[in-house]
Amino acid sequence: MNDQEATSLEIQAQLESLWVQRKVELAQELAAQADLIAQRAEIIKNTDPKIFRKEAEEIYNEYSRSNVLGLTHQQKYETTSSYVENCVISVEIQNNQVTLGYFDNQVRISYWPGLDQEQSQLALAEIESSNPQVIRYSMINYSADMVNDPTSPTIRTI
Amino acid sequence: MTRTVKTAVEFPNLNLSVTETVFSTAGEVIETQHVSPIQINSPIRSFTFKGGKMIEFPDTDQATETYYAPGIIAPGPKFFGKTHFKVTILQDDTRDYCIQLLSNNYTFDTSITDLAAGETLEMLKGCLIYVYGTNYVLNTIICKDSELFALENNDAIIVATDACKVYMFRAIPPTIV
Repeated sequence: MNDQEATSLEIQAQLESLWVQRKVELAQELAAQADLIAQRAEIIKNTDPKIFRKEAEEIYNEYSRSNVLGLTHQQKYETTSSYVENCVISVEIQNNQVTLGYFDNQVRISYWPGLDQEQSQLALAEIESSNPQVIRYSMINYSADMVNDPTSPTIRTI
Repeated sequence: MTRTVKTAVEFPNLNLSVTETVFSTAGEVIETQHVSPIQINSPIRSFTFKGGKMIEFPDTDQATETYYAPGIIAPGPKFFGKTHFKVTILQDDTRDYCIQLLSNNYTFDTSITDLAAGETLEMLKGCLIYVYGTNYVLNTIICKDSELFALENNDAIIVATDACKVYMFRAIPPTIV
């Protein structure tokens, strides 16, 4: 083995060592991120539902005055659901697309401050898998304003 | 163009809630991309009781489904396993009832029964029924229009004076093994 080959092998060994070290660092970063997501999810779960609903109502008042189409900047609104009491509709508008979510109050995870979109997706996927009440979909095309009517359907009880 | 959603009415004893959606104008389009495919155990059932809708299933070779009230209970078999839906409203003032389970793990039992004039149908209490017709008797109530009934306390006997259609929605608790 000449000096050149020895140097080449030494450099290769150093590179492999650095790569192993980097992989360990990446694994540690991912683990830390997972811990962070779990901690934030726990904080959201413990949020007082009354605060959540009050905020949602205030935000919805703004939403109900807005036209969904034609908005190109990011906007986000949340409101109590008209389908299930104690559920919340999350409305997010970005680049003229609307994302709606239904969230059970007992789990209360949505696009909440402190969670970025990727983390929310992870949290929501977990919730969806265990809670059949959660239905989530994106509005791709929506040509009408959505209006909440305080009156209820007429239903006769027998 | 507006889509007006009425405030839900809950029936805890039936484990169901009901809301009504009014689509003001023909031509309204609602296109949605669901995160998870629609399954047979979806916690929501809906039907159009006034007006009509066309439903397309983009990204599939599934034929367009068009229906007018009285129609089908959705989601039907054509919806299962799909995530992308485009709904076009076909008539002004199209109206839907949306019925949702209140508890996790419950499932729906639904049916549509056609009654010819003079026929009778008995429905056991513990469900919601919608009678689509203009001349029928429910127990002792003479009815001249389509109507939703919550059978919370009593069974119902429907006598069709003229032909009518009866939709039934019942929440079924999970089976304990």
